[in-house]
Order: sequence, then C-alpha cells, then structure tokens
Amino acid sequence: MSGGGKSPRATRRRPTPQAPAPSRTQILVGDQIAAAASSAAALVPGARQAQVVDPAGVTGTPAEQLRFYEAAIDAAAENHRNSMAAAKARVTVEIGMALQEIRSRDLYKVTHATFESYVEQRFQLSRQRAYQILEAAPVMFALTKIFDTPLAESHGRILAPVMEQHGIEAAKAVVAKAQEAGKVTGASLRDARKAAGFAPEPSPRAASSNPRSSVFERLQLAQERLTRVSAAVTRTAVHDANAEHPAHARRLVLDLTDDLVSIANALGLTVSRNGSPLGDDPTLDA
Amino acid sequence: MATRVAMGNNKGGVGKTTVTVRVAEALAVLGKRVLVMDLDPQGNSSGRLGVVGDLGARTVSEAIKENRRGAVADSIWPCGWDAEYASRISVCPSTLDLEDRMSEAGVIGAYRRLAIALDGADDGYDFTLFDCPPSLFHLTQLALAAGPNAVAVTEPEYYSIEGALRFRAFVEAQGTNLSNPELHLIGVIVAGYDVRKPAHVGQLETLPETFGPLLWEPVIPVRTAIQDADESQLPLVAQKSEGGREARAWFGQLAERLIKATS
Repeated sequence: MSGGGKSPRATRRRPTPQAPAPSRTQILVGDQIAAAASSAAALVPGARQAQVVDPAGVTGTPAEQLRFYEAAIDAAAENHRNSMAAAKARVTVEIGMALQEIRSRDLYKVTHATFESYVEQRFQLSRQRAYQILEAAPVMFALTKIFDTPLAESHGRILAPVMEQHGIEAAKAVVAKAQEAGKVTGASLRDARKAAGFAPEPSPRAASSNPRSSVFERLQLAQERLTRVSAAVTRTAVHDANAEHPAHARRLVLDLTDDLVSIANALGLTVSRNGSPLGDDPTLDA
Repeated sequence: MATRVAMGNNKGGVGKTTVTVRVAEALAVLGKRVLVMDLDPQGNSSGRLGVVGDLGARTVSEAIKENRRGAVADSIWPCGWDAEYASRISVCPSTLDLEDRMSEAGVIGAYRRLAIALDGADDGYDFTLFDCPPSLFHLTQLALAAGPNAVAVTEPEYYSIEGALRFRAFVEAQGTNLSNPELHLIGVIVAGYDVRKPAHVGQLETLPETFGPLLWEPVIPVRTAIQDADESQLPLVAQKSEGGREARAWFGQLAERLIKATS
C-alpha cells in the first residue's frame, strides 16, 4: 500500500489507537465558547475590578489601621457570599425553567419513559432534587426581576405555594414584609407568610393521625411509585442498559428482582417464570 | 464557490502542511486553480509556497478580523514559485498575528467569520485548502465552519493516529454546532512513513482497519526530496532526483483522489 513500493520489514505489534469515547468534558465548539465566556464573566463579578486598599490612605493608630484593613476583608467576604448566592440562584433558575419546559412538553419522552428516570440518568439528579428545583425556580425567576438580592432556593420553596395560590404580588409582599423585619431568612419568610395569611394548608398526610389511614397512604404511595417503576423498566431499557454496561445492568436487574420478590412475598404472589428465578433472565447474558 | 477542504489533525508535526502544500501543487499541475488558506500562526505553508517578507495587513488574520463578506480577497497573494503551474496557486498567508484571533473565540458567531470572509473570494478557484493548526479550537473551527469537507493527515505513529481519530470524531460530531451540518471527513492521508521504524510498519498495518474506506492511497514515505523542497520553499518540480519524481507521482495520485472524492 505504500507509495514507496517496499514491503514492510519485521513488525512489532503496538497498541492500536482507539476512537475517543464520548466524554462529558467535550471541547467547546462555535457559540458554546461565547456562552462559556459569558457565564464565566457573570460568575466572577468584578474579578478585574478588585478594590485593593491604598496603603497611603491608611493612617492613624495601629488599632485604627487594623480596623481599616479588617473592614476591607469583611467587605471582600461579603462580596464573595453575595456572588456565590447569585451564582447558585442563577443555576437553580436556569435549570429549573429548562426542566419545567422539558416536563410540560413531554420532551423527556424522546429518550426516557418517565421524567424521573430522565433527570436521574441524564443529569444525575434524584427525583426529589429535580422536584425541589422545579418548585423553587419559577418564583425565584419571577422575583429576580423585582428584588436586587437573589433569592435562595430554600426561600423559593417557601414562597412557591404563595405564588401558585395567590400570585406573584402576594409572594412579593411576603418578601417585602420579611425585609422589614430585618434580614430575609427562612424563618422570617415563614413568619411573614403566616402573618399575611398565606400559610399553606397542612398536607393530608400531616393531618392524618389515624395509623390505619397512614398504612393505606403508604401503600398507595408505594403503588404510585411502582407504576412509575413499571413505566421505566421496559424490556428495551434493560436491553439498552445491558448493551451499554452489562455488569451494571445485571446488578440493577438483580436488585430490582430482589425488590419484586420481596413485594411479591408480602402480597402472597409467585413471581418466578417457569419456575426459574427472574435473576436468571438469559437476555442479560447477550 | 471553490471546493473547500480542511486538512487537520489534533497533533502537530504529522505532515499537515507538507500534504496541504504538495497536494495544492499537484492539483495545480492537473490544471486546477487552488487557494491555500494558512490557518496555522506558524505560517509554514505560506513560506513554503514562497509568500515571505513583509505581508503588511494582507494576511488571513486581517481578513477574519474584518468580519466582512469577501474580505479574504484583499489578503490573497500569488504563489512565489518559479514554475508554470504556480500561477494557478494563490495563498492567503498567516503570521503570528493570527494568534490574536483566538481572543475573539468568545464572541457570538465568531466561528463563522472565515466563512463570511471567504464568501465570494474563492469563486475563481477550483479548490480552497485550509492548512489547520494542530488544535481543535477556534482556528480549526473557523476552517470547519467554512466548508463541508475535511481530510485527516497522519503519520503511521500512535499519537498521530490518535490525533487523527480525535479530528475525525470532532468533525463527525460538531457540524451542527458549527452551522455546517454537511461537514464530514472525506479521507485520511498517511504521510511521513519511515520503513526503517518498526513502529511505523506496525501501525501502518492497522490503519485499514482503523479508517476503513476513508484511508487514501498512496501512503507518502519519507523522502529527502520532499524535505528539501519544503525547506528551500521550492516546488517539487525543482527536485530532479528520483525521489522528487516519485513524490510528484504520489501527490498527483492523492490530488486525483481528492478530485474524485469531492466531485
């Protein structure tokens, strides 16, 4: 094959390079570079405008000079806290608003059976974490346009039911009332919410003190979860998982099987097919 | 618009510039009009094509910076070789100033600037060849956003092949992000083959399996005539040795392969 026309001499086998595997740390391409640059600039506000104390302006007794420099350090620390709070709030809002659209438009169905399995597998977000972000993001997004200080995610979750049931003006009023009381904290927001008459109704679960209804409630919740599990664990999903990572897939199937056997035992059901345990599904040996 | 082809590899020193320059020469010998875009700030293809000295503000860097349709036309130089077919080769040269364009990578739409600057400027050519830097970042992305064809150049050596595989994966995955969904790899050229190196011999055997039908023939072996032509900034026709004749024939075959792959 060489244009030189000479046949290769004795060969020594060396490893053959492999095509690069898809990675989460891909090189930035096209406008992704601009987006990253913009995000970096937003994340580090004023990095180039650091205010360093001019020593010539610091006079007085040693104690006075010390107070001056300590004030500079306190201001820098406060600036850092505010910057981090702003960055965290931004992340929550951007992720939450995007997830909201993905869920409301059923876009997750392009690759996954359920929204829960989608967020878990695509973004490593637990179901609970995804719903926390979904709950907080809309009110944080709405109030960002009104208040200069970014709202913490935990504060967003306190205000979410207020906005959902009474509108953005009510949520805004609660924040304003908490501000009047001093620093906005989770406690001050709850107090303000209660004072404004927007405290959420106790949930049926919390209201129930009957242990029997609690049992039925737990079973009902379990049934609802199983419905979601059933939608997520399809033959196609198992085959795809097996093709991508057989060992991991097999372990997951064994765990699922254990859970199912445990549930079946409690229900007095037989779950084996043709007498063979589900864990021996031959499709996983492909 | 000319047929645009980006010659790349994520690794340096694999023969990108040599192949770009010599394929451009071979295309010109075949009667094709060729524009060579030097996108490597080292400016080696510019020099090897005889474009040297004070280039003023007429380089690819200014053309990209201007961000104007057809701006490349103001930065085109004739090939400096003394050969009949050299009149069919033009060069958009680069200097170290091209590094400055990297700072614009963070601007929305910056990756399209070369495509815009080339618009209309290469209508009079049959081929525009981009000599890419050994990187997959902004300068290479400018080339890949400007045309649908990419060719990987590699030595039959482990890290060179790895770099070519990264280039191929990048080309195959990023066309849409570069507003160029038709972008695809049309071939792999193997150069710098040294039969005295067991590693080269061993890796050469694996290349058909690695690249399949994308692998173009012939493989270009190391030849003094090629190195002499490169270093003396002369065309291969000036190399009267047997090696020079061989090299002209091999690059001629690669040029014909390129024509076939893009027609």
